[in-house]
Amino acid sequence: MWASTTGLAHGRPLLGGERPGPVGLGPGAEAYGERWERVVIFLDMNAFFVNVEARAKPWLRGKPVLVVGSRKARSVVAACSYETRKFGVKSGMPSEEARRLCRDAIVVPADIPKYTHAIREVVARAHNYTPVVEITSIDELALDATTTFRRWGTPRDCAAAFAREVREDLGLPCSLGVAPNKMMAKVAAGLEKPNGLTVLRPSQLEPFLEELPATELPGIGDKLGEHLRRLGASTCGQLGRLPLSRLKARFGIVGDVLQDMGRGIDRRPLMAHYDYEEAKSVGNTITLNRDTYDAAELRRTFLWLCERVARRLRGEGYCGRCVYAVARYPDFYTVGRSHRLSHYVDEGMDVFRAAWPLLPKDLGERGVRMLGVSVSMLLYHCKPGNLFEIRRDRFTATLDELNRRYGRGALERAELLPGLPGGLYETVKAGWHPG
Amino acid sequence: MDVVDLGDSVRVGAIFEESGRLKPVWFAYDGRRLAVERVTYSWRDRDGDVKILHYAVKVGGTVYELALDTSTLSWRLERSYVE
Repeated sequence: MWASTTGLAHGRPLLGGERPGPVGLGPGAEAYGERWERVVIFLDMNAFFVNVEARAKPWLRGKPVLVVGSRKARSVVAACSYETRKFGVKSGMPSEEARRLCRDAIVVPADIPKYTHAIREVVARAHNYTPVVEITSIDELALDATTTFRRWGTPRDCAAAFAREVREDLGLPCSLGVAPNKMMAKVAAGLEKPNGLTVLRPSQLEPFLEELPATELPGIGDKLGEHLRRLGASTCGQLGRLPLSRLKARFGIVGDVLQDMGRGIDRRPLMAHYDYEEAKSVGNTITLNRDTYDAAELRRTFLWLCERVARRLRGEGYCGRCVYAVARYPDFYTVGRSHRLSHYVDEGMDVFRAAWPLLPKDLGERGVRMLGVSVSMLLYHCKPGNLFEIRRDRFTATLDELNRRYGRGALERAELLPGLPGGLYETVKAGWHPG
Repeated sequence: MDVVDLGDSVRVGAIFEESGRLKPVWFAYDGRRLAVERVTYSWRDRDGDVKILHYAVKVGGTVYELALDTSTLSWRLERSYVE
């Protein structure tokens, strides 16, 4: 219970206490007759959810498969097999649209605990190759093998041995990239899918980047790419040569980062488990089973979301004072507003009271497809300020403990009990954390 | 593929392998004893404090998901997937 925690809370060291810093860049390594700043191996699990499902249900192999948020709910495609992609199906698109594009697709409901278990198996294997393993998402890892790759020979040998373990022992296809930094290793991993292994040596970076479209770099999407194109930087080579003054004038402090990206420079150290940065915000969104026009149901659903966000805040030992509420109408028009409070909150009703008024009043009239709430400007290990808060805090902590012991939803606010079919829970998206 | 949610309590015969792993070998369902041909996948989950072990098992053209509640040692047949 966070209010009385004096040691590690969920494996996270307290602020101000001793905590290991990020792994430094170190002296680098020699490989292939070249100096490598670091040897980073990036692992991208190919169609991860689909392939985990195919391990459990072998007949899915080689078939067009969609893994969707929920069978009951209208939801989005969480993952799709390569066989569906030739029909234009992409992860993140509404599942109805994906089914329209690929009518023969086999639809499988997502089972997150199954995938979490699978990635933990992969992480355990990764630790045989280096202690510095960064989990960048539920289906991507980065390994800093600068000081360990020689045990297997070259960086390619090291990556190949790891890939073999994942593919043969765990039965999961994956693509790997090896490069002197994480950004370029990720780009390399994306070059050959599925089951590829691409090594980009330091001396190969410049010619490789010369013709690479800037939008192929992680973090440069279509919109930013369009801005860069107008500045004359369609490729990474052009981006790297743009004068810093022009980039800074257009993008501010991000100008430095963009120029580095164009040159293939990424100085960020890998963050191993124990180095995870403090969270910047905690939030949840929900895509409703159907467009909802019932204002009372929307209010209840939003309160449920706020309770969920607050429980996650408390679970991680945070409170926050900036709330953000977002709603998406059936025509996909999205409205979002934030508000800074004068005090910190970590209780569901407090988050709700601050966030609900930020949403438009006409939600029930226009209908809602998606709702979301997040809390930022976080403070770690905050304590209640007065006697009343201490009492309420103890009460909340007891509820949290009961829910932890008996499972989420063991105790809920009475207002939330009716009208929330189980399907709603299945469609909630939250940032995944190795926990 | 047809997915059927079941959620029934079932009798399961399981063996502990030399490695210490638990492996379901048969389960009773719908008045029949179904022999497990293969455990295709297994994973762990938690429900509060309770550790749940899940097994996807193949019987003919169907994959069944069995779940063992390690606090009560009771098995549940969660759902079936028919090819």
